Amino acid sequence: LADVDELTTIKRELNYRISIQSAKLLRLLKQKDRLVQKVQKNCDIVTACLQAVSQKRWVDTKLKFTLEPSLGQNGFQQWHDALKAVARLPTGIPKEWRRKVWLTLADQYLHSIAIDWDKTMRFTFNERSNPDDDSMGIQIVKDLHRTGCSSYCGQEAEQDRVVLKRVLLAYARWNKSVGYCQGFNILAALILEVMEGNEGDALKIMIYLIDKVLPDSYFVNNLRALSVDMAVFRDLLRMKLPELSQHLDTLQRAANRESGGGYEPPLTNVFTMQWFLTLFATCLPNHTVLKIWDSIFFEGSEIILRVALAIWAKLGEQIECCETADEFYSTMGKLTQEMLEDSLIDSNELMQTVYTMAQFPFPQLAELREKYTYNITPFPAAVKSTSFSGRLGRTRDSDEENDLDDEDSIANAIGCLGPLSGFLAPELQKYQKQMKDQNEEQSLGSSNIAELSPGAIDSCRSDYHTAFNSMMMERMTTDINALKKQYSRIKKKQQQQVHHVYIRADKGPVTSLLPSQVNHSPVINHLLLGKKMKLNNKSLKNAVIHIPSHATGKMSPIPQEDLKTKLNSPWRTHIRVHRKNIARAKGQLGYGDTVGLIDEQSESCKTNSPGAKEETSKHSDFVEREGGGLDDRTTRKADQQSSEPASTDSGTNMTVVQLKLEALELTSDTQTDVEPTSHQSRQPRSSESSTSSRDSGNLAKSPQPGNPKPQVFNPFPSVKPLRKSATARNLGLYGPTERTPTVHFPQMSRSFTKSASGNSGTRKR
Amino acid sequence: MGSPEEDYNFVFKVVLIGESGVGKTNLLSRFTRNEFNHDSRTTIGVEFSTRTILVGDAVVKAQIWDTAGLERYRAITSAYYRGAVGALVVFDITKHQTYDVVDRWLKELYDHAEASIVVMLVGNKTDLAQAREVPMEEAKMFADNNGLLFVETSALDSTNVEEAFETILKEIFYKVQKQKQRSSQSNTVSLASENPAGTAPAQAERRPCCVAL
Repeated sequence: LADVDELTTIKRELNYRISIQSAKLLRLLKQKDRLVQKVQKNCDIVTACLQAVSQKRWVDTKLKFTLEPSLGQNGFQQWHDALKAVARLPTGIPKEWRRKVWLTLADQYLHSIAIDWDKTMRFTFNERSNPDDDSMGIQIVKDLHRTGCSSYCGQEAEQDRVVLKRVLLAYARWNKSVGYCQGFNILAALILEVMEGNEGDALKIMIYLIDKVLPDSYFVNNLRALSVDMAVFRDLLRMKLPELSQHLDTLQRAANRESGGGYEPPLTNVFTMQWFLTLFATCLPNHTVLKIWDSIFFEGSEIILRVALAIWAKLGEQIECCETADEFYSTMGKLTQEMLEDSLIDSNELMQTVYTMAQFPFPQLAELREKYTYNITPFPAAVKSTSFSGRLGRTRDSDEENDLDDEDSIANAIGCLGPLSGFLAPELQKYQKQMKDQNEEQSLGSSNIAELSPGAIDSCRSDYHTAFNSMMMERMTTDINALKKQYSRIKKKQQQQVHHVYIRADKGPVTSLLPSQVNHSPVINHLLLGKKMKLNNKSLKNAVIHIPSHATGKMSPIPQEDLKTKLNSPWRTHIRVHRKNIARAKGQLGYGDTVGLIDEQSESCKTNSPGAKEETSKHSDFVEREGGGLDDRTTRKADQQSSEPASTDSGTNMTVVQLKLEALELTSDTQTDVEPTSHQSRQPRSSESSTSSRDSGNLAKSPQPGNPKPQVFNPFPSVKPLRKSATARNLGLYGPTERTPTVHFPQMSRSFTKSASGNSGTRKR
Repeated sequence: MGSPEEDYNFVFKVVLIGESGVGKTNLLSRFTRNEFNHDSRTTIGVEFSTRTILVGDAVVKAQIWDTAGLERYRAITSAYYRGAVGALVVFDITKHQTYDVVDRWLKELYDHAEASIVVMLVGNKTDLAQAREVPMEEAKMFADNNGLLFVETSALDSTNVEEAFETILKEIFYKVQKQKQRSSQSNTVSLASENPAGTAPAQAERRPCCVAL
């Protein structure tokens, strides 16, 4: 009986406590809701602010600020766009967010290539040393205390150095082909600082930065891509800061002359080389460097070139005082010191210059990178013994691209193809590259099978192989059809783009109303402020070259033809190769990169034609847009918005829209005062545009020269296909394993979902 | 720009090469700024520093190019060998491996540089004498056989650093002078002959191994 009483008391007591706890829980939940709402509201405010400051408001209506990407297909893109907008603000990304933001980007990348991260961690941070580590390990250890960052020096930093070493070794194991390169120690030290010492997170960022963001072979293959960028940079300098560039060339030539048989490398090289390799970590104060890195992570590697241009623009005045190469170096010695000590370059100002110096993506950058990648020392391995030694009587290396004369001679060589060279050269390169890719893939594929390295590879691997082979067979037969379909879709897209060009062409001329406005084109703005007028004429002249065919008021067949030819051969190559593959029908582990590109292309096709309807509907779309082009701005805006929901977040589409915007911006920037006039004049002008050569000149300056082309087929330097680590592949760190099915990452980007839907095998070699 | 340092009669370009970690950067900072830093940052690509000294009664400005030792940087750094009139090939006396590869460095140098370049072999880190792995005689002999100048230094305690740079700059200077005289005799050479590039024949006899690949 006493027990019963006792139990009742206990029960009552329990009930009481439960009710208290429930109340508490309820309260907390409500509070949480309130806080969530508050966060939501704050996010909305931020979104509103971002949209308010956005100069391209009608694109950024899609932007939605959240602290982390929300689920769903567009979640990541929305987050990405919003944070990108934040990064573009003068204040940049708050440093409290930086770690999370970088990690989100890196995670997204790792998901997109279907990496099993736990497994990767186990492998890359394995305590047991592995035979390949030795030589790398020695070099890494040598460099641990030489990061230029005092926190890694001295006795007490021992632990930090251990972590740094583990990260560097982990990356070297992850990507054996890159391994360790001096300079990584500097990058990793800064990354670790942002990641608060977490080695796994630091590795993620290293992977994202080196494998994804930076161009291929930035750190390998004699730093080839770096040499390319150095050469590209000199061209950009020539375009953007022609006076400075000319001055430097003069100094260089004078130095060459004075030293007789001597040789003076391009003067900017010694600086850009270091800036590019350490991403400015050794030349600017940390807070500026981190801002730049934020920007690089969001906008891509072109930021590196932009920052370099901005810095040279800043230093230009003092450099133009120098009269000899030697004086230049002395002056630069002083200036670089000042830069590092924060007294010379204001980070806000710098970043504003970076963002405003040209539209995104940087006009002509892709072409230049491509040009230098394939034009200079096309056979780097053979160069040493053959191609140049005869001519120069001296063996020279692949630093050939540093030599202005040689560049010229190559240009001449291309030039001797005659007037067609412009068409042919890139075409040939692409073809070459295509073949090379195929070869590489084939060898990769076969070596993959041959080389079943022990341990790390799952037992499911062999099953996977059988399944994979049969799947490949099946796929290859369907692939040709798919390719054809995609090809035709792309063709349609080309036609669309021609329209875009046309629409832009309509808007462009408006700016040319007043001669005084000629100088306000976004291409030349900040960098050339304070320069003489003739520069503008120069850039004008340069730009005109690219335009003429697009300026015609109609959808002329010429550009279309051009675009078609651009497309043609690479795809044909594909089809050919696919046929060959069927004949072999064996163990091909994929065409990852190229097919990935097809995906992208087709994706953007879809986005451009809402619902991927047939030609007729698209045609009406064209008409609509065309109409929009002729209408006043608000109408166009509405038109654009209405078509937006249908489009997913394809980069290509974005750029197209951005381009259109840019042209529009041009209008609003320069015409705010004369708005009414421009309104009225717009309509007649659009019809005139085809005839007025001045207009087209102006148009040319408004940034799109040659732009539709890179959008069309531009697999190489700027649009980066997914890259995979050979090590990781060999180790089976890529799927498919039980761990990597799509279910895991519902918020995954289109690339992943897409690969599941159509080409599942292609991305996973 | 208007500083007294800018008044000089000659500019000599000198490159510093050798394996990673032998102390090139510290040799340079000791010479140009009288500084030494154990934790000096790894050299990325190419860096440079200058100092002006008096050779005889001429003011000579040494423009010294410090290069990264890492293999994969070589294609890029070797572009800077070409304009150089002098080179310091540095090794670490406490690490035999860094001495073993001197041969390779020389070859690399002669592949890219002017044949007339004055080369000095430098054994660095004499302050770590107790850990010495490369006997001085051995290195000296190697230098003699290959027509190189030779010196052992310590950037840490400043031993011989000044001497090393002065010696090589003097040598370059005399060579330039000699060349000047010769060209005034032979009257075939123009202004350019001030540069020792024209001295190739004189060099060939001194250094038999300078043939390109």
